[in-house]
Amino acid sequence: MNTKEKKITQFQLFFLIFLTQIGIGVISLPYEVFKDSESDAWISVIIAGFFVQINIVLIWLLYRRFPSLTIFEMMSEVVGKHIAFIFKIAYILFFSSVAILLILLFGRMTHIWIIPRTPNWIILLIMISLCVFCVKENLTVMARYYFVVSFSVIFFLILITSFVKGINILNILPVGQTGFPSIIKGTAQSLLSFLGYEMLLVIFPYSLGKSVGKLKVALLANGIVTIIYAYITFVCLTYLGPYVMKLIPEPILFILKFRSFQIIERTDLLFLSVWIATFGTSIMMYLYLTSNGLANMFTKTNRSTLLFCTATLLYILVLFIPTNDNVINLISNYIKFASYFFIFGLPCILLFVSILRGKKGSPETV
Amino acid sequence: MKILKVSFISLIGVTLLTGCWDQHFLKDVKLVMGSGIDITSDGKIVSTVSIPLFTTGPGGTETTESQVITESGDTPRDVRNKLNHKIAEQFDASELMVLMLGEEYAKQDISAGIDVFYRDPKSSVRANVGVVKGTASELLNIKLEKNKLMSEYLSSLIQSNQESTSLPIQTRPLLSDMFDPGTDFVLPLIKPKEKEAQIMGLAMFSGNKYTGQYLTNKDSTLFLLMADQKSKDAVIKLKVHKNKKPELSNFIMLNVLNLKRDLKVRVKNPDEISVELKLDLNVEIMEYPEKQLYSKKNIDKLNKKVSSMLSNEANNIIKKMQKANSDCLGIGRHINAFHHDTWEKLNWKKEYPNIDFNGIVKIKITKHGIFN
Amino acid sequence: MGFFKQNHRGIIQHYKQLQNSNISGTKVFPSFGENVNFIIEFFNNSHDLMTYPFMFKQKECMVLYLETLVDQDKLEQKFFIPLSQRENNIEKRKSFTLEHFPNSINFSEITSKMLQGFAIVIMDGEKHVLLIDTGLSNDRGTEEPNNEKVVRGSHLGFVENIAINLNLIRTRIKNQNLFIEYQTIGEITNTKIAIVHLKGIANEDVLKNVQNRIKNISSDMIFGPGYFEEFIEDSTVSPFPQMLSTERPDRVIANLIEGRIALFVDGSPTVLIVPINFFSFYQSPDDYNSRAYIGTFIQVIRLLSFIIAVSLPGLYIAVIGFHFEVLPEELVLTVKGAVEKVPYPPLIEAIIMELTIELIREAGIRLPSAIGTTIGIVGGLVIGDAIVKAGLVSNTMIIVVATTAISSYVVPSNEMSAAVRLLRFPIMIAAATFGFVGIAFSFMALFIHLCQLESFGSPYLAPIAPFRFKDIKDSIVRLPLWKLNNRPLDHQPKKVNQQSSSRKWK
Repeated sequence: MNTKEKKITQFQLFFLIFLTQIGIGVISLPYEVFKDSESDAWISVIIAGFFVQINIVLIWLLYRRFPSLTIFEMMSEVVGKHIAFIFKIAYILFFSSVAILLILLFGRMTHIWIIPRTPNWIILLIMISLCVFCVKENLTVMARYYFVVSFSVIFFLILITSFVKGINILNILPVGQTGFPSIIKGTAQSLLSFLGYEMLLVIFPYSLGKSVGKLKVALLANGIVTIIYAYITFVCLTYLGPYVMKLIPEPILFILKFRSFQIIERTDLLFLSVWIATFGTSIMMYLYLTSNGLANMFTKTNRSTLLFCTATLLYILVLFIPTNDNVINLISNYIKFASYFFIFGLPCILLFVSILRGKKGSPETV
Repeated sequence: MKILKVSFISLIGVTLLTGCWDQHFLKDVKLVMGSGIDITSDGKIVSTVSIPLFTTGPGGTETTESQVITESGDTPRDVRNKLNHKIAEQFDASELMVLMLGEEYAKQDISAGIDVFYRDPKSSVRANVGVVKGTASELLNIKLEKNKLMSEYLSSLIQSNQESTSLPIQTRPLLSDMFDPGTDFVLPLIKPKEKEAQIMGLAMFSGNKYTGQYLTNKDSTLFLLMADQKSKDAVIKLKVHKNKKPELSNFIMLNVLNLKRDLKVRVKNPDEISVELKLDLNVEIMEYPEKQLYSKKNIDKLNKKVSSMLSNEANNIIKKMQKANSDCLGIGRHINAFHHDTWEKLNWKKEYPNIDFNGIVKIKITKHGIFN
Repeated sequence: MGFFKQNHRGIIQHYKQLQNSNISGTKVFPSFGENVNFIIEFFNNSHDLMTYPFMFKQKECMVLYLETLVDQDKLEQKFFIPLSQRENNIEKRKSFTLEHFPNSINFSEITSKMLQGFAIVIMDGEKHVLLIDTGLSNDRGTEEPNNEKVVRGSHLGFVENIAINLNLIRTRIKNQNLFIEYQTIGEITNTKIAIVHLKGIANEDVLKNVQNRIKNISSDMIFGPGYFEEFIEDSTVSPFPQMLSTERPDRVIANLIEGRIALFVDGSPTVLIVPINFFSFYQSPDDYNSRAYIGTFIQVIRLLSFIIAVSLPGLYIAVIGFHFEVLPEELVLTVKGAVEKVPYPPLIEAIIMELTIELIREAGIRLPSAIGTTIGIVGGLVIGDAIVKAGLVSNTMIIVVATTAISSYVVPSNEMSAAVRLLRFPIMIAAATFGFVGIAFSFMALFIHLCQLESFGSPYLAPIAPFRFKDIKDSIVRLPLWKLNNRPLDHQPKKVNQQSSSRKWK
């Protein structure tokens, strides 16, 4: 147990999970899933959310065996120091690559929609510096900030409800016309947008309260995220229609562009500017996870120093990666497959091994 | 640590000095608020733009007139670049209010030319689109009275007609209707006159092409009611009597208060599709010189008469649509949604003109002003 | 750096030497002349040290006092008049005694009392030196402070004398748990400060923190709270104040009862209150003296004014310079007409106007009231109107700047208003560099900073940051007073329940 971190309440845990999951997914999710499951994309999203719930229960079962350890600490207990070392490095690389993907997607989004001529490096530099600025403090400070940012999500939901009037249900009927296999393919595509709940591997021990309460909070957060994603996909499909969706990579922004209000015209611009904070929260969590893992490996160094080094490395790496669609698709595919292993497979293996070996951690001090 | 501080400060300095890459000053652009696309005989695009001119004085901004410029090129974006050679400041179409399509241009696939409006994130997707009976440059070159902008005039013209249910309100981007094989769209048809522009009706499109046929103003209100798109007011004029003196006592003017539409599509097999359209209207009498509304019997008689007349008109409208092969009511989408297997086997463009349509309109007079 | 350190050390040592001369407990000398000489030398032969020798019981005595600190009336009353009466009236000879005065044998105590206004009597052959309290207090009346006026409420204000200030507090909290702790800080000025809190409600850890930080202050002079605010606050880098400063007794009392700690400084009417959160700066005693609905409405408007004051110029620059397509069609032509003639980018426009307003404001403080109003009119109307006609600045900019200026003065606290005015500029520059994205980034940075900031252990953005729904009823909205049954928890008071159901008769 890293005693340097103060503990967060369950209420704050909810917002941490919620805001890490919602981020870039909201904007391109309907398009990505549509490519596979067309007018039944919303069903794929709901099924994906359901799978994530199962995954969260799995992570919680693993957590229950070691109530006060993060996954990094758990690993050395369960499989021994040397294998744990390899796994830890693997996890750290996984978390950093997700962070890189998020940063690239953020850069691309702002480049296309808001400020086309500003060079990428300056925007990414500022974003990474701000994330480092927040993550160098302990978890409670981050939790406070996440709560403040959650108001932008409420703003977003209000915006979306304003154009429910224009939807045409006929667009998604008949339900299920694309067939089961493509729905499943769509589910696999949408899992990428649900990423964020694996932070529970590290954050569960840092929150107060009984473990059942934490499970409830995590399931609730994911449930709300699923509902929001499904709702957005549904609205995009019914509003724009399946014939046009394949032409619009960011349907939500397109719809917002179309619906203006009396005093504001380009609503998509305003929404995207407010949403930048939510992008930031997703990136921040992955930076935190990476620095936490590194701090676990190099126990002598301060976590914030490791954080600075990681951030600088990531930034330099990002500068060298060209931001075109091919590269981003490549990285997303890699992360999709990696996530199956790291988030589902590895905790499964750890759980079984710990049950077989009979290892159990000390009961949690609330 | 010192190097870090120095480099940080210099980075900020560099950004501030050379930054602002995306600056796009309002005072450096010429706002294009009205735009028209025409096509020449050899397939070149001719674009006409209307730019508002104004003077600034102690009383604020005063708009004087519009500057109209024409230019031709290969694609709309090409024309834009060429226009920059003529216009004083930078061309900017992010505040476009109206987009007029010339008749000849609209007769071919319009989705190709509109591409530029959907690709640029800065462009305005909410511009009112319309078809011109003639060429768009004719329309935009009309000399209006002083201090009136062409784009404002056209846009408010269209807007006021939308509120009186003569023109459809665009609740969804035009794009989604353009690419949907199960529905066709209608656009306002405007004819340029000497000093003003007149709305002729609704131009019917089939696929993405203008069919050349349109619904007159008289029919467009009823058509929009059939499409379940009632706006604030909807006024219908009918000639219910004959041979009454003076001539104007033969007419009745109704305002529709509520409408309920019931669209049933019956598919037996791909060649036998029948559509039943039931429309229930609650109306208010706006003008009826005959003054016979004090007895319930008269009101019932009037109800029946107006209902049968409107049903006839509705069927006429549908026949016109079928003749133009324009599925403006979205029947195809209904079939797609509820009878999906039939839709897969169907060639909608061929079958649509042969469908059995039955339009039934029932009205109920609920209000008649403060006067019987 | 090292060069300065050595010099600094030298100064400290020199003064410590001076003080050490009697801190080691120099006691009264047996000889009369030695004592007198010691005192005169100690005060460096200052010309305002008065001496008056007289005979009492056939012994040589002398009264010494610093004439500039002593109230002549009191000295007359207590000492000279009984002395002269004794001289003239033989019967009263026996009734004139000096033994009832407090006495001391320790020179450090004697001299510090002299510096507080006491007069001392040295008698030949006596081991004790007598101390007569004759301090002069030179105070103005307790009128309402100019910059914290309220419409409905008490119109009292603090003055420069710490005893009167503490009196204003004690008379309103007639409770034995009101604990006052005196300390003296400032090597040269020896200023008296008081740390006041309510035992049983205020948190002991926070109190210890405060005491610890004050003990660590090592400075020559402390003139007022502004001085040592910077010594003991959590983060000097932050533009936001972390202690509430006020001149009103009712505000101090309300905060004391909530469980906060008040710091008084002799010589300044400003009192510091710790620990504080962001929303306390937006509360004014007016809210609590009026009805609940209006109190809530005004609170919400004040909080909105923060957002407006900070972001409005930035928004204007971002819209005009980057994303004017956000404006609706009818508005765009008007704004374009307004901006058309201006020869430079909106950032320069904004900076010109903002700096002009700041200059007018700064000049307005120092203008004698006779020409103050005239200059106000000149500055406001003429400059605003003329600058638009000259084509240097657009109409819309004037509106933006005027609204911003008004919003930044809505805050009841001066420091917060200064923070808001300062924050405008980085946001303007960020907006001019990146447009809306710049504003989004600056707000991110602002909120991250606010979440990190803590005031003596309690988070600055409470009750929003660690979200406590129950505490909102007193910070963002103002529910009727009979609903406020619990104290806000952000500064960890020990006793949370502050009232129970008071409307049982309903």
